[in-house]
Amino acid sequence: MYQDQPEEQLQEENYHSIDNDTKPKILLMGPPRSGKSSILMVIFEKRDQLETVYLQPTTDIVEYTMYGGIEVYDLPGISYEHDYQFIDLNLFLGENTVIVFVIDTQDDIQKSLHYLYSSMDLIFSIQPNTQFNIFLHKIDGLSEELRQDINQEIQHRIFSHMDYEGYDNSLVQFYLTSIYNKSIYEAMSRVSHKLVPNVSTLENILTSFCYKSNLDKAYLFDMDSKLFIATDSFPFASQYHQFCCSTIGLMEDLTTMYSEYQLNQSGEVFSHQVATIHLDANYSIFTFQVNKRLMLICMVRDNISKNLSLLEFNAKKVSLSLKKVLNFPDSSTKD
Amino acid sequence: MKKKLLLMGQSGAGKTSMRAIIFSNYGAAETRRLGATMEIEHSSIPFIGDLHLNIWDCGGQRRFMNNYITDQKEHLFKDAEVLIYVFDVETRDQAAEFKYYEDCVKLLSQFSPTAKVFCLIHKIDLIKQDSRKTSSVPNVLANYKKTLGPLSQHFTPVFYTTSIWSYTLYQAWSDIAYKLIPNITMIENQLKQFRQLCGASRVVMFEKSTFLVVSHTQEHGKPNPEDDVFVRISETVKTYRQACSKIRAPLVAINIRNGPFSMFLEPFTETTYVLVVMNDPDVEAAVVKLNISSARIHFVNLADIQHT
Ligand SMILES: Nc1nc2c(ncn2[C@@H]2O[C@H](COP(=O)(O)OP(=O)(O)OP(=O)(O)O)[C@@H](O)[C@H]2O)c(=O)[nH]1
Ligand SMILES: Nc1nc2c(ncn2[C@@H]2O[C@H](COP(=O)(O)OP(=O)(O)O)[C@@H](O)[C@H]2O)c(=O)[nH]1
Ligand SMILES: [Mg+2]
Ligand SMILES: [Mg+2]
Repeated sequence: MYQDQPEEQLQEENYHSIDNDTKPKILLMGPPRSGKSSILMVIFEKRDQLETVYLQPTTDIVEYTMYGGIEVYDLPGISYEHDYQFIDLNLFLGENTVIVFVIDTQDDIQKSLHYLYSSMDLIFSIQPNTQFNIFLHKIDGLSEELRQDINQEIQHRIFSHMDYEGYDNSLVQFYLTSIYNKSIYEAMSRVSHKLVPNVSTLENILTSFCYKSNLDKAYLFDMDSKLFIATDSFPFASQYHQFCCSTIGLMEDLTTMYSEYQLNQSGEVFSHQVATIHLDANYSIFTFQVNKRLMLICMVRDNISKNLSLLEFNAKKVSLSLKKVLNFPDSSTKD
Repeated sequence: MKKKLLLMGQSGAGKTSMRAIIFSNYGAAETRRLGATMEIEHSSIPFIGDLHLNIWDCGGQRRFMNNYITDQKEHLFKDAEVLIYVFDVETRDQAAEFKYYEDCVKLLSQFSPTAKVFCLIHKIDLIKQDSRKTSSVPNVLANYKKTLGPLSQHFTPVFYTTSIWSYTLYQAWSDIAYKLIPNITMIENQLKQFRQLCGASRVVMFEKSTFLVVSHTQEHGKPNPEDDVFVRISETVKTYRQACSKIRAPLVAINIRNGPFSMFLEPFTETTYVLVVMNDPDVEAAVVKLNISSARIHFVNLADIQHT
C-alpha cells in the first residue's frame, strides 16, 4: 500500500513478533452487494465512486494494510443463504479484531438483519467480545428524515434481538455511511481508533497542542487513505472533518506543481511540507507534515500569519511526540 | 469591450453544463440537475480588463436549431467573435450533428468571416478504452478532425477533447479565453519580467472568478514538467473553493513550503489571482509577498483598468 519501504519492513518485523491473536484487524462483512468492496476501493485504492458501479462479486478474501499495521479484510459475501460457515473465521478473529458489518439501506433490511444475526452467533461463539460496527450504507439516496427513521428502526430491531439472545448491547455501534460523500472516511477512521495503539495518548497530545497554540481543532491524518488517526477531545463537527479531507486533496494536487523539483541530491522526496491557508472571516488552516504519510491539520479561528513561527515550533514538538507514541521510525529526518 | 461567443451543439451535448461549471461554480455532479435550454440563454461575464464575455448558450433541440439557421440567422451569427461547437461523443445521430455544424459554419462565414471556431469533442470520459485501442481518445479526435475539416469553410477550427469530469474542460476554456484578451502580449511580457525580478521558477496568473489561466511563465532549463500541470490547478482550486463555501469561509490565499520550495497563491488585482513558485531555500515568505504587492500596483493597470 505504502511506498515507504523502510518503514514497512520495520513494521513487519515488529508485527511478526506479535502473536496472530492480538494483531489489530478489521473484517468487512455483510450481504452480497452491500458495498464492502466499494468502500475499501474508494478508501485504499482511491478509486472513483462511479467505478464501483460495475463491480463483480468478490470471490477471494482481499487484504489491505493501514496505519499502525492494522489489517483490513474484505470477506466475500457469498449469498444470503450461505453465510460465513465455510470461511475459517478462527484465522481472523482475535482479541484485537473488530467487525464492520455493512447493511445496504436501499435493499431488503429484513434479509440483511438475518444475515447479521447468524454472523453474530458464529462470531460470538468464537470470540464473545468482538465489536460490531454497523454501517448503515448507501444513505446517499435518502432524505435526512428517512435516514434518521431507518437508523432508529434498525437500531431498535438489532438491540431487541441482542437482548433476546443475551448479547451485550454495548458491543455494537452504528454509522450512517455512503461512498458518495465523506461520511465513509469518518466512519472508517472511528473504527480504526478502536485499534490504533495508544490512541488516548495521541488525543491528549493533540488536545494540549490545541490549548497551547489556540487551535480550534487538530487532526492527525493519514494522507494516503484520508483517514484520521486521532483528533483532540474538543467537540467534533462532521462538516469540518469533510473540509479537512478536501484540504488533504488540495495539498496532494498542489504538490504536483513543484514535485518535478522535489528530489534532493540523494534522490529522496522532501517531506517537510508546511502550509497555511487563509480563509475569509479570519479563519485559517495550518498543515504540518509529520512524516511521509502523516499530516497534522489544524483549524484556527484567527489570522495565523503573525505567530506562524511559534505555531510551527509547537507543531514540530508535537510531531516528535506523536512519532514517539506511534513508534513509526522517523523517515523524514534523513533529508 | 464585449465579445460575442456562440455556444452551439445538439441538445444534451453538455453546453449548459460547461457554462455552469466554468462560470457559475457548479460541481460536475450538480450538472445532472440542469434542464434543456429553451431558445437562447444570454450571459455577460466580466473577464479581465474591460473584456466582457457575452455568451449565447443556444438550446440545441431540433426546433430551435432550425430557427437559428433560418429566421434568426442574421441576429445570431452577426458580430460573433467565437463559435464554440460542442460534439457529444455519444450522440445518436452523428450525421445530423455534422449537417448542423456545416450549416452554422456557413452562416458564420457569411456574417462573421473573421470569427474563430473551436470544436469541443465532449464527454470523453465515456470513451471506453478497449484492448485494441480502436476507440482511444486520440483516435476519436482524429476521426472528428477528418470529417469536420472539409465542412469548415475557410475557418481552421481548433479542436479540444473535453469532459466535465476532468481538468480538460479548463484547458479548453483557458485557451479560448486567452485568445480573446486584447492586451495579452503586454500582460505576458510583464509577467515574465515579474518572474525574473522575484527569482521565481514559475508564475501563473488566473482570472479570479473562473480560475481560468490567463498567462503563465516559467524558468527555462528546468526539468520539463507536464505542460498541463498548471491547468490542473484551476480545477483543484475551484473544487477546494466549493469545500470552503460549505463551511462558509471563502478561500483567500494559500502558502506551501517544502524543503527549498515554496508556493504562494495570492489575490492579485481586482480580477486576478497569482501563483508564484520559488525554488530557493533562503527566500523569506515576507519578501515574496512584498514582491507580489509591488507588482500588484503595476498589474492593476493591465488587468483591471478600463481601456477603451
Ligand atoms: N459523462 C458526461 N456527462 C456530461 C458531460 N457534460 C455534460 N454531461 C451531462 O449531459 C447532460 C446534458 O447537459 P446540458 O449541459 O444540459 O446539455 P445542453 O447542451 O445544454 O443541452 P440543450 O440545452 O438542450 O441544448 C447533463 O446531465 C450533464 O450532466 C461530460 O463531459 N461527461
Ligand atoms: N448509492 C450507493 N451505491 C453504493 C454505495 N456503496 C456501494 N454502492 C454500490 O453497491 C454495489 C455493490 O458493491 P460491492 O462493493 O460490490 O458490494 P460487496 O458485494 O459488498 O463487496 C456497487 O454497484 C456499488 O456501486 C453507496 O454508498 N451508495
Ligand atoms: Mg465485494
Ligand atoms: Mg442547455
